[in-house]
Amino acid sequence: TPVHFPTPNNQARKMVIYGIPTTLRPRVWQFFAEEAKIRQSGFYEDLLNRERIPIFDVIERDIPRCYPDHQLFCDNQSEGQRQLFDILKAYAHYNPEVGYCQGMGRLVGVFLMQHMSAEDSFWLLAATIRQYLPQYYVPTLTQVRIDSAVFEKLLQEHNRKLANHFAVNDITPLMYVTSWFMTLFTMTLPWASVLRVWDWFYLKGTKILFRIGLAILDCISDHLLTECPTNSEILQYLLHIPKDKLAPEHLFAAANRVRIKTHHIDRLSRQVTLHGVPARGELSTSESRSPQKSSKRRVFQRVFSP
Amino acid sequence: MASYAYLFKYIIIGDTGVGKSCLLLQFTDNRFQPAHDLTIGVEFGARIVTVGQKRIKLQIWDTAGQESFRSITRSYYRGAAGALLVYDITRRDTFDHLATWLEDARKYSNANITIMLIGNKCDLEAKRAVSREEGESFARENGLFFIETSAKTAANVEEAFVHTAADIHDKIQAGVLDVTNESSGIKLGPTQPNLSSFPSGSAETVRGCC
Repeated sequence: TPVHFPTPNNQARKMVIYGIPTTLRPRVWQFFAEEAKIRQSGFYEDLLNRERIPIFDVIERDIPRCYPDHQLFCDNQSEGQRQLFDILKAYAHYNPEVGYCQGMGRLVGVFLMQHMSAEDSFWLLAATIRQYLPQYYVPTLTQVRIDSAVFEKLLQEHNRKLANHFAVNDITPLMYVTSWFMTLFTMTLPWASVLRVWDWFYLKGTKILFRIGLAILDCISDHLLTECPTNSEILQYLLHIPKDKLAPEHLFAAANRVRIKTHHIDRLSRQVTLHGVPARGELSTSESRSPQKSSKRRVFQRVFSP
Repeated sequence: MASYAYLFKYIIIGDTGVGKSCLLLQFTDNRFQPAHDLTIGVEFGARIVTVGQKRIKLQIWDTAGQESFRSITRSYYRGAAGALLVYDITRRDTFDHLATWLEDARKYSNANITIMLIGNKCDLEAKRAVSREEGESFARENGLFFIETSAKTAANVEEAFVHTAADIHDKIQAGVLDVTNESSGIKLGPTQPNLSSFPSGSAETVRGCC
């Protein structure tokens, strides 16, 4: 049931704390991602009818490897697999600069699991990439590499002991944040945590990637420091974290203790880009990562007000 | 279980969908999982093998195959003693791309790296698109070892990993590889406490000396 909150800001906060009602979730994500701005009626159909291009081969091979354990996608004759394929093919035509990149299927899969139609899922994918992850799935993975370098700095500030333990054992963030960030944590977190992290992500933007990333490490920091003496044990654990360690009550308690400011992240991004880590010119890192909140809050108010 | 004489770092590379993750899983867990998740970034596994009389721990890095991920994969070559370069015998394009993979391996890894060329999916003989001889001659021309494997039936999987380890071991014996140099991709195991190169190997060291 829609709940009336006294101010938009409180609405947003409460939504993150209490969770969005399941049936409203797709609509809320669409609004935050400003999907309506880019949606064009009939265009998805048009994209589906375009010619086959070489990247389709890669997409085709990846479909059975996207949520292979989920009932929607486990059967290769399933509607789910067909929709996944259609949406990714359409996107490859829609945004040739990105085309298709492994990891994108994990996003689409979540949309379909929320009972969104293929067309809605397509537009939400397009809006999500445009709004939050514009340089993530490009062939150079530019923003993934920048954010990984930023994450390393944040970890040093936030949990120096663990950062040192990683440094001594040659563990760099690219080894673990690549899958965290590129799949928006769908390969790491238990489902109960995934959806709430996504709610938060749609509200606050990529800052949440860092915050949740640091929270995950906080949840397992003791284990890594005491039980994982070399990089073999560390990586084995980091890449297969027991799901119960990251249940909502643990993860969000940890996330609440992580404080990072958007302008700090922006500053670190500029720093790592300046030092040439992954520089490629046309980055948008000088812009703030915070989505333009004012207009979104207004929209949000419309969705939730009785 | 924990004690070993050496640790060798391996990297598995090759086009997407050739069976890199399946080879790793077959080697570390003795099972084949036809429906598994895509590898985003890197996966990781370890197992101890015996070469001669020595126990050697293989630490294996399994990488994402899509071209975009190469920029990330390159950082894993450093400090690898062995590389398994995999193609799919049923897909010609994966064989045609070997040269670019090899170029990366030569450029970003240490000069003495042992490379095993693997033609995977040899259980699918009816769909074969690359002959055994072609694989062999590519390996010969480029100074690589060569083997055809099936991650599905486990044929030659053990051999691919162990043969590579044997060659690295030979290089150590011959003095070609310097075990005290981290970039060689070799570390001494915790059985030699005084020489242990682990910065904080307490747990393993304790279990290791018996």
